[in-house]
Amino acid sequence: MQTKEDLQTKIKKQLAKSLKKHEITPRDLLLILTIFSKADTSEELHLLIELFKDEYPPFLELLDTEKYDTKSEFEHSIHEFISEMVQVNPLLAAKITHEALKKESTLDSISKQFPEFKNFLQNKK
Amino acid sequence: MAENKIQFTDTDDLTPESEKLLQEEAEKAYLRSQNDEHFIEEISEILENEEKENFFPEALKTKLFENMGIDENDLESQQAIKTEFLGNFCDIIHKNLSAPEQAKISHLTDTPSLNDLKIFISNFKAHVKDEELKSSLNYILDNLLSEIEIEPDKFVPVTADIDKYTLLLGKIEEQLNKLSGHQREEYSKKIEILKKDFETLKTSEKTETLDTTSIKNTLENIKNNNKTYFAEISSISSQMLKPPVKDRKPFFGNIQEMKNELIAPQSRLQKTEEELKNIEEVFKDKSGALPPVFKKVQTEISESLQKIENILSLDITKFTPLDDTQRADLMTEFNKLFQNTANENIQTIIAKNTENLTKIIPASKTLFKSLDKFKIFQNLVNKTHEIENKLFGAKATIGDIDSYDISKTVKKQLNEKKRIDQISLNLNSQLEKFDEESKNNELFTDTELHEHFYRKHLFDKAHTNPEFLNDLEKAQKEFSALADMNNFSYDKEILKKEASIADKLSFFQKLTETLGKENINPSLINLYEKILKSEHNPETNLKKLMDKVNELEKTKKELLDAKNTDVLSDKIPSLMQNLQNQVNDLRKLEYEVFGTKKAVDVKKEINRKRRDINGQIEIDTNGNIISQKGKKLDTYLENLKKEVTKTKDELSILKDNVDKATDDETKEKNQNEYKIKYQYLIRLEEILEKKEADMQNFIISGHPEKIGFKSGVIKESIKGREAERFSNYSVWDKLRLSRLSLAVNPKKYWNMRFEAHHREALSKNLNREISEMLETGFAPEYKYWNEINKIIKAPYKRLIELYFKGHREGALNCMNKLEALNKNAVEIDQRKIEKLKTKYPELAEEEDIWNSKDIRRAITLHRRMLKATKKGSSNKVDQFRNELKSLIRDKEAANKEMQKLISLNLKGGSIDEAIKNIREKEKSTSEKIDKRTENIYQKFEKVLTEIDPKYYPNPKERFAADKEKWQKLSLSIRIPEDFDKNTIKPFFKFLKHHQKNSVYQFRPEDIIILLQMQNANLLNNRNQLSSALDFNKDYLYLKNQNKIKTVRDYLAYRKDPTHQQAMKI
Repeated sequence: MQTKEDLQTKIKKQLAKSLKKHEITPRDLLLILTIFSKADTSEELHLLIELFKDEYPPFLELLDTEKYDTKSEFEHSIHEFISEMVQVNPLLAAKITHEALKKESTLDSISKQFPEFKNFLQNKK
Repeated sequence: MAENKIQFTDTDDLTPESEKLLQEEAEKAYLRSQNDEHFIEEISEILENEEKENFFPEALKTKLFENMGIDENDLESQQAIKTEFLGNFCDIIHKNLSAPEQAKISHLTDTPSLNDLKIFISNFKAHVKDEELKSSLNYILDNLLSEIEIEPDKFVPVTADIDKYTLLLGKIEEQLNKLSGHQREEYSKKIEILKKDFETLKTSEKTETLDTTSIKNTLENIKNNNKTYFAEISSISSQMLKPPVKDRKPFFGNIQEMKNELIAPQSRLQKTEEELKNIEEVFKDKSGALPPVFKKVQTEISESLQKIENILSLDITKFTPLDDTQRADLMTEFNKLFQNTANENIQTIIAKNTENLTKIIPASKTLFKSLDKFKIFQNLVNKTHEIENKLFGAKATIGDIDSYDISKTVKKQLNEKKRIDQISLNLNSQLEKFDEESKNNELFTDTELHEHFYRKHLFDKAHTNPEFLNDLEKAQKEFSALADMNNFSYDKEILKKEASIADKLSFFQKLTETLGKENINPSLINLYEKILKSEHNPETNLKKLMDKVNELEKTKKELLDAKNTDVLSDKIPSLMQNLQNQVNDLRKLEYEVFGTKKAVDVKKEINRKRRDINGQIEIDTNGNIISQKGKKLDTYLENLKKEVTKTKDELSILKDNVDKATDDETKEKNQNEYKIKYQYLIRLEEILEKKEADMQNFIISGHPEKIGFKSGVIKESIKGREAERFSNYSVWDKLRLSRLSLAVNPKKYWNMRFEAHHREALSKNLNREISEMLETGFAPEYKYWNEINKIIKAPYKRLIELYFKGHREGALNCMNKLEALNKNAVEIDQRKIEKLKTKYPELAEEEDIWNSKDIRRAITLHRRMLKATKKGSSNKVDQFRNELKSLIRDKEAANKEMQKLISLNLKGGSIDEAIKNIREKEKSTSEKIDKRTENIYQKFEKVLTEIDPKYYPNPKERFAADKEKWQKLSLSIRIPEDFDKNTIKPFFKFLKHHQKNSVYQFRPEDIIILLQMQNANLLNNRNQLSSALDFNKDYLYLKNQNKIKTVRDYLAYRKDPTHQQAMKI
């Protein structure tokens, strides 16, 4: 889970981009910043993004980017782990690959299921 | 953005002024857009470059406000904009989020959350001075809170304190409006006080600030002081506000609804009572008195309703759920009410009083209307049930309602049961009759006799059709009363049960015509018409049926007469045909009269009974029929046989008579007599043959249970296709099978039996096979041969347990047979081997190593190899050849002399010596092994090639190709004979563990070295072993370094003093 500050930075960058593209007006920006600055946690920020996504296009784009990033990170980590594991424990590698191919799989879900993968992620950090 | 847009029109239409204005506007727009671009650049830069922590920097805020034309010091305008934004935000929230979600982020909207409201209410309560009011307020405010909690969608953003108070007061008033009766009055007074208090609070608020801590403390005190009261209030309020049962409607709604429901029928009842009073006169006797039963019912109805009313006292302020006794009372009253409204006495009274009907036809209309009222009562009962359901909750009343309905259902079922019992009783007596009659009626088949009684039964049934008779009796009563009333002359006999239905109906018709339809109760007319048109009117059909049955009886009698007078009569076949046709006609007719279902039901019943009778036919162990039915058939056959013998005797006498006759006339007469008797004999023999076949068919007929043995066992044992097979066996086979199966272990036996054998084999020579199976326990062609093999290898006890549980004799037989078989097999094998040895003396030389078993194995392998060659399966050929070679190698390795040699050499002193010995002996051993193996294989080659020279066209060549592999194999682990297995065991365990976890993988030869070291007592403990493993590591290391290639190289390398130091490392 990313921190509130990270998310805020992403929001600001996205807002700047959208402002340049005239997708939002300075007034919209003021409104967004006024409301968003009240949020105390990243969860609240997420909730606000969800709420504003229909009214303001930058949030929709932001959500898409988020999704893409998550997916990329997921795929990258799995790829890395499998490459390593296939030599040591091919059975486990196969199991994790199988699990990762499921639509609903996330880094969290796989980490919970396979402690080896969790360790791998921790070591990576 | 809208202000930047310029409306362009056709330039030709522009005046010079307009054109100038347009030009100016365009320039302004351009400048604005330039400024906007600049501004956006600036803002974007701040957004992108500002520090992480500062999400909404002041500089940015100021710039954005400035862009909107608001000065950084103009806080008021800024606040206004913010409020507007928050308003927009609230809209978004309300549009997209559920109430609980809204509450979660309410702090972002600057509006009070539920919690705020709670705190506020607590504060407010603390400000109330009056003690009594405090208690009341506790109640109201807690209700308010619980209401908010129950209905969280009532979340309303409040922006100012003053609004909060107003809202609260509104809420309180709203809550009060929901209350009713004295409660509302009481609280209305209190709310007035509260309002005054509130006004004071409003004015004081400007100067005073609420001290939250003291308020909280005060509230706690109040709560503590009024704990009991508080609990009471809470319990009441929770009862009133929280639905006790899921999906229950709000309580107030229920009470109101219930009240309405009860009041409405009550008034209806009153009206009905009035109406009943009005026509009481009508019901009065000639003496002027009201029939007591009528009065009684009327009173009971009123009482029941009154009691129900009392139990459901509707004072909502005092409302408490009914206890068990009250509920039981309520149920009793409901039942009474129901029974009374459906009371047949009322109907009787009406029937009795119809004498005045002609005078008071209009009044009777009212009477029938009031009868309708009774229906309303029934509806009322249903309605009150519904209300009761709501009141007690679905869960509580389901049982009650069920029991209420069940009593009716049970009654119905009991009646139905009685009826069925009656039918069953009739059937039984009929079947008994049948049995009696069939004894004296041998020439008729049982089917025909059954058919006959079946018809009779159906006919009886039609007479007792309850539906039809009920209607008829009802109509009969009504019309009889009507006729009496009008002094209508009629023969009372006509209405008696004995009178024909047609007579009764014609009488009713006559009566209707005389009185006129308009003077007769329409429902009576309907009933009458219904009977006339009724599908159940069996008069005609019954007559037809009866005629048919009589016809059938007649034909039957004719047939019997014909048989009795002249058994050879030509009439018999045509009469039989007639009888059959009549039976068919009768069946068709019955279906028309009773409908398919009923006829089928009765038929089923009869069939069931028949099966019961047949089920009693038992067959003894010799296959003789011992039941009544069986005996009857047997006797019949016996009688026929006797008759045949008798006729034959008579014929011989007649023949003598013919021969003895002197005159032509006597001779002709005697000849005719003889001819007739002869034909009779032929006929008799035909019948005998047919009946014997019939009897066989009867016994077989595809139903094993008819044979009389325990069908359950067979059904359980035979399933699917097996059952089909079983039905194809002859009856005697079935009998023998079942007897035998019951004698042994039925289930196992049957499963085995049917899996193991082909049907043909079974039925052809069943007895022999069964004996064989009993003796051997398995059949040679048993498809699970391998499994059987496994069992045979196991102790005999297990075999007995598995297949002959509890059957001692069979088990013993089996055991003896098996032992004999095994002994026999050994003897045969031994003879074969002797033969082989004589034929191939080379094999005899190896006797010390090659026992008979090994030789047999070698020969078997070779045979398989040949088979595989013929089939062209090279893989199999290779496999068997390898197996053969490995057999030879194993035998060679087991050579005692060789083992001795190895162990002797291993028992040397130091490692160096041992290694030296090993090296030397290994060399010679290897050479010896090679030599011996080659010798033996060559011998085999010779023998085998002789058996099938085609397979080994060039044995030497082939052997040379495999030689290397073979030699390698012969070098694999050989544990010397005198190894102590107990010491090796833990060593192996450790080794295995180590091998699994070590990065170094041992090869067989490494393990040999270790084992040899261990055996030579060189490794006495773990430390030494671990050094041995180090040694292994060392070996692998050197090998990887390409310094050595084999173990021998290693030993030589380490023996070299220049390299010894390195090993220690």
